[in-house]
Amino acid sequence: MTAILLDGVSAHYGAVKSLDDVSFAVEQGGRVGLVGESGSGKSTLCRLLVGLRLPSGGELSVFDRPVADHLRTDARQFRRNVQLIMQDAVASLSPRMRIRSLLQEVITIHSLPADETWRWIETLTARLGLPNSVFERYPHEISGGQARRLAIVRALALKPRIVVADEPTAGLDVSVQGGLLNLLIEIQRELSLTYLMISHDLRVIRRVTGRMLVMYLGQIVEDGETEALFRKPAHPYSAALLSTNAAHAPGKAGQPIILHGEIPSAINPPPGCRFHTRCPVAQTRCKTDPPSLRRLPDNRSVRCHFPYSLSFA
Amino acid sequence: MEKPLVQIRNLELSAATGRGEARILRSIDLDIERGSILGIVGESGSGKSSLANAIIGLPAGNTSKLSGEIVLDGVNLLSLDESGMRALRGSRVAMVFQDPMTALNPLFSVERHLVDVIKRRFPAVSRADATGRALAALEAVGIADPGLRLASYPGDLSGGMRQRVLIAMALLAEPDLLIADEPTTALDATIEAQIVSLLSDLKARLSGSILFISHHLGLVARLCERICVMYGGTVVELGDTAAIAAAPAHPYTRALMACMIDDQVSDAPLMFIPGEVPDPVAPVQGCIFAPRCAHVVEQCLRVAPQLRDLGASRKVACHRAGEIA
Repeated sequence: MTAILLDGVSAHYGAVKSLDDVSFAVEQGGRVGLVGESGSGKSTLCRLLVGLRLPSGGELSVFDRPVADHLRTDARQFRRNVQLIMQDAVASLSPRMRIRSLLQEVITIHSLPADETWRWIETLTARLGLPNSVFERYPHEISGGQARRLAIVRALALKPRIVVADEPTAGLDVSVQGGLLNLLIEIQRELSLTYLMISHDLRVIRRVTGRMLVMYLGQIVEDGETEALFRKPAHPYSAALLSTNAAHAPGKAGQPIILHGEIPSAINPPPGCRFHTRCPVAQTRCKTDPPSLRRLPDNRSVRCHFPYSLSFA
Repeated sequence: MEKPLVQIRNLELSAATGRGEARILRSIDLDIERGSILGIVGESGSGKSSLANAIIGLPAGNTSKLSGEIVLDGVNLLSLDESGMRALRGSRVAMVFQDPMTALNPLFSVERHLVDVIKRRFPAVSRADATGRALAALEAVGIADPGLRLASYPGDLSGGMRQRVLIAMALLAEPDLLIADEPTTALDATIEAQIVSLLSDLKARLSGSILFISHHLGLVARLCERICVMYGGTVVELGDTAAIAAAPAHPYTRALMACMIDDQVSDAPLMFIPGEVPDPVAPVQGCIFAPRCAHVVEQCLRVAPQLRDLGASRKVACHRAGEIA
């Protein structure tokens, strides 16, 4: 079953072209990573997937039905099935409610069986190493790391089928992120969930996801198997981004590919290839002729006229 | 051997909270050598930012108490009054903050920010000369079109550009000590790579020392000659980067390195350190890391380990360092 399908999706809001011509499909049970800089459209894409916004063009389907359709006929069911873990965990917990009420609210809204769901919630909190006393606290009384874990508990409490996680480990110390990622992977396997995970931490993406999408300025520039992509990125932007990862390992001598300049404005994206203004290997054609996302023989899609022309040590 | 630029001795910081007294820094002893770059690594709550703020004399709040010594070139900074401290800040000690979005005044142009630093540090410099220096500083930190950017306001700049402006301001002061507190945490990966490469280039051109604070061990290892690992307001390990990377002596450093996700393809569960960081209000007996340590023995629960010398300018606060491998 196709869990998520996007075909030529665009999201133009006013003058801002947040997404342009985004196409990909995810089968049920897949773990997909989404990487790219701020302004690349990752968060907009998340909002579209969970139905917080509608695309301004193209086709967006979840479980083989357009999202707009779901929202019209079975919005509550759809929201239960497709959960978003927000980037700012503390802000996602209402400050005036105890944690117990925050979780109870989920049960009430979705008319879930209370006893069974609470047992599931307690299993999750225990597996995340949270003490039961946390239920009686207010959000300001818990640490950022605990808030992060509770936001995940709240999303998984519903036993959703798709989880869109926007930076699920942001702000977490490295000493605790491993435990949280282990749980996310275990639950995904147990319930055969579909994950779409955004992270700026490329090591997390490499370890957790089987496939990844690289975004730049509102477009997917590369789509392929995570490990293959890390080993040999086809798009010059992927190569630069992944090189920063390699260079950060202690005791390793890898030098990052330094890109000059910054991501251009989404109001007025560069003509031709959107990346040509920062691309170290851009050629004349790239300045005028916009590449389309095309399939390469090695099971990969790339939006570049000259794939594999930039590599890193 | 030349005396260190900064000698921190028995530095204690505590703050009154609704639940009791929180101990934020516990008996810190640390030297910052001249012309060196020292990295401080620690997780949230380890006290690394509090240490930076203490050095530059930013109070942690009305209810906080600071004791001990921070000696910069023979002067104990804790004995200075506010005007004495102000004379030092932005001239001998400068800081690049974590959040470039809030560290600049939105109503002042980039030129005003830079020229203010020069006028304060070098009052004799003429206005025209100051503008020239400001321009050169923007160039040095890799800002494209520096002439145009002088007239920009912070709101016109991206996060990466703002951080470059802050670094330019810090450089113009020609400080003896530059403190960079998580200077790349708020930035994107490719911009972070730019800033790290900038800092690493500037290292050679700065006559002073740099204190680089980060939660990112890999980043610190890349940039710094020496590393100081903090946990729960204490220094647990100190030494040359290469030596620590090759063989961490403290169980916490070791666990932290094990938690870093490596590049190996693996289905094995990820490593983590069970438990939570210590509550600064709770009393501590014995070693502060003992509740989470995999190598804990009875002595650890009773006696707090002192930072002891392992030779080769390596120090560790662990009873069992050397016997565990």
